[in-house]
Amino acid sequence: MAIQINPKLLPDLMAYGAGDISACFNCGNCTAVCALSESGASFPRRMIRMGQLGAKKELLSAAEPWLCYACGECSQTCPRAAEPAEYMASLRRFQIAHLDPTGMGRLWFKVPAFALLVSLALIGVFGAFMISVKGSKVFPEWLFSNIVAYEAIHHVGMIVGAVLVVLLLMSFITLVRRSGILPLLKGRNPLGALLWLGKEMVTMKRHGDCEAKSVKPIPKHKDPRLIHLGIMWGFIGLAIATSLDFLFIYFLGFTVVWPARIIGTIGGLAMLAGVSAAIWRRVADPEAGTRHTRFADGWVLFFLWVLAVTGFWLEVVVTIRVQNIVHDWVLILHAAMAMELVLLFGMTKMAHVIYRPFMLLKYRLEQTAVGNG
Amino acid sequence: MKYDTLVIGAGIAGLQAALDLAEQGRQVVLVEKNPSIGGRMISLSKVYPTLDCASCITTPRMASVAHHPNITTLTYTEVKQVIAQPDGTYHAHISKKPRFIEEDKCIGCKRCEEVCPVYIRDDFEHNLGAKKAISIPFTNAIPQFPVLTPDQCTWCGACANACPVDCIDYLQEPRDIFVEVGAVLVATGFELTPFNAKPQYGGGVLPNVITSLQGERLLAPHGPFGRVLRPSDGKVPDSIAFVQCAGSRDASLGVPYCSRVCCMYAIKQAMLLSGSLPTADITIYYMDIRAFGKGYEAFYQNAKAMGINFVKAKVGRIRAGEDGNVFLRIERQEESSQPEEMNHDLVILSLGMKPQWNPKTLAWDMETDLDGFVKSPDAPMDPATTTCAGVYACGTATGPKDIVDTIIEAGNAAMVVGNHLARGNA
Repeated sequence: MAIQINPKLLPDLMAYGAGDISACFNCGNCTAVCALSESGASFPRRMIRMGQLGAKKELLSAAEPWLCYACGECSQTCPRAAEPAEYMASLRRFQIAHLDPTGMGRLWFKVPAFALLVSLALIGVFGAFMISVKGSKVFPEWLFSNIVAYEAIHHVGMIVGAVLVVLLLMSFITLVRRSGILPLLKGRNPLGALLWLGKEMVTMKRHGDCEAKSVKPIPKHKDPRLIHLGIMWGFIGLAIATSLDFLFIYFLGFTVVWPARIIGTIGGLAMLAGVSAAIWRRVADPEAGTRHTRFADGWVLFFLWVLAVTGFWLEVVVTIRVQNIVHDWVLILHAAMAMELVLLFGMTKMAHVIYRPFMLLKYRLEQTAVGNG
Repeated sequence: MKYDTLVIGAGIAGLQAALDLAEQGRQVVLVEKNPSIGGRMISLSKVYPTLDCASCITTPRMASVAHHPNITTLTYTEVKQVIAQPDGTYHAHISKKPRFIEEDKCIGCKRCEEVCPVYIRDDFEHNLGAKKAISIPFTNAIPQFPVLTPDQCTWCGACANACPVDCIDYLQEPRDIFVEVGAVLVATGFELTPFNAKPQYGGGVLPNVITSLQGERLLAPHGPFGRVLRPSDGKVPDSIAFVQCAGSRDASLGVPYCSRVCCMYAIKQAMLLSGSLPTADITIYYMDIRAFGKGYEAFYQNAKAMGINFVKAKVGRIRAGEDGNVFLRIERQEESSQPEEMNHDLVILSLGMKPQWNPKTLAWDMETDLDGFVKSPDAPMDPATTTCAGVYACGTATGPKDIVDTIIEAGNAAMVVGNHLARGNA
């Protein structure tokens, strides 16, 4: 298939956070030094070459950006200081932005002012809407009736969730079509690849491999794999807790401390620790892997951190059952930010929750295809 | 003591310039910090592109300098300070390091070396061999005086007892020398870029990863082993790799410039290796081959025709394999673009050049370029002139260059210094 050349793509990719990738003279050091690059999945140099040529279509369908865990060794050793690790990160942003059906994802990553404005505006809109809705006191244990009605949060949450499902479905269809995964599945049982993917997602072994080969040992509190496992399992814990909470309240009319609340608390702590470490790593010690963190990526971390802190606040308030107007405002902030995060899920870094596993599956299918052993 | 010119460094640049100035009737004081003159060149195997034996063509130059009536050679001596005078001349403070022998008595008989019981690492062989704690630096060193290494000497007294002329002096101190000169010529040369600068290459950690100057010694006619063996186990290597740009053209190492000699010396060493080990596989991993000089391209093509493998790839990682073997990780770029691990018995890192010495240490207003080499503000037309009036520079002190270019520059510098002196005397 012929590649369409487009010299304007490179500046565009640089707007997503890539360094001076035009400095690359294709020596191949990055691919050779990369612990995860292998036959059939050769990166970053091939990706850089595509970027230099402007092969947009190929870049949008490539699985390679998602095989990289940004250990940063290629950037540290690049003879041209072209920062391949940053380039790979910008390709991930590029793919996320181009899978967002609203088209806002591109501005979201490229224009920090836009991201800031949208983000503040959404908090305002959600907050104001929830305050303005008057609710009945159907739920007598509701502590925050001074300002906000239980139904307001509940119903807005449902609507936002529904919008997210629709947006993600549209993104997913585009992803399936673009990635070319369907021909790989033809006449094959994907169970083996799915099992591999499940194991990989639980343990993140590849991420570990990436760091194990690094010549500089990474201290545990800065270990990106541990940080990510903390955030990820924290999230999963919270999701389980919330679902249990919902089921208990729905069917029994009350919730229970074990398992719902305990799992939620542990999950929240894991997430708070992970997010704090992630923020601290970026602020205190901007290594090769995080030097060019975009505003939009910092935004996700900031939101998660505030949500974790306010979540704990509310957890304590609900447990010891105190009523105060301040707690109501904390709830508004928590709810508005959570809804915004859910609404914007598909255009932020969060979308990797879908894209990375999907691309890992594609990679696995390719690697295990007939003739590839 | 008054001289016309102080030449700092007695490598091939300093030797050639000193000789040219002396031939013009100028009085030269030549200062060398090492115990012997000859510099890097005397330690090389052969020179490209003619494959002349390096010591066979350096030794006559060294002898001419050592015996020239107009040249005073001060070896094992360092320039401490150079102070500009109002009349445009310079006063230099030079310090002579103790050899712990009386040079006017020593007859170079080597009795001390024979009886010395202490073996130490031989720096001339880049630690590939051993020498005695009191020894003449190398076979064809000039002057043929032994040097005692006080850090490792056990002061057993064996050498003092054995010396037939009673010249061992354990209490020798550094000696100050003051000279007045009309001009200064800096010919301080280069050193290799650090062996361990790139931890991914295992330099200094993996025994069978060696530097290019160690490679020169392996191939030199009177090298440490007398033949090509790899350091870890003395095996005759069957498969040898050269890693090009291991110290240059790499912004991450702070050496973004090309060192200009590595391609050619690697090709030369590869050729010599295929001469001494005709069945060995020899591979050169390169980013670009820069064969720019007269006869260099033909030299490169000859190497290819001889069966030396040239693989276009930058080596990313080097790790230990089994039995002392070494794995190189590369990305193939020709035919495919896949990462691949290559197995070799011995790996030579083609390290680059960085300046040996920073002139600022002498409190001169002599500027250096961003890369640390002496700045030549009028480079294209007048490469020997520095930012300091009456101070000139040549050879690898001003930038990476090979022997051919160094000799040309040294001749030019001698002429420019001669002109400067002539103007001052008029």
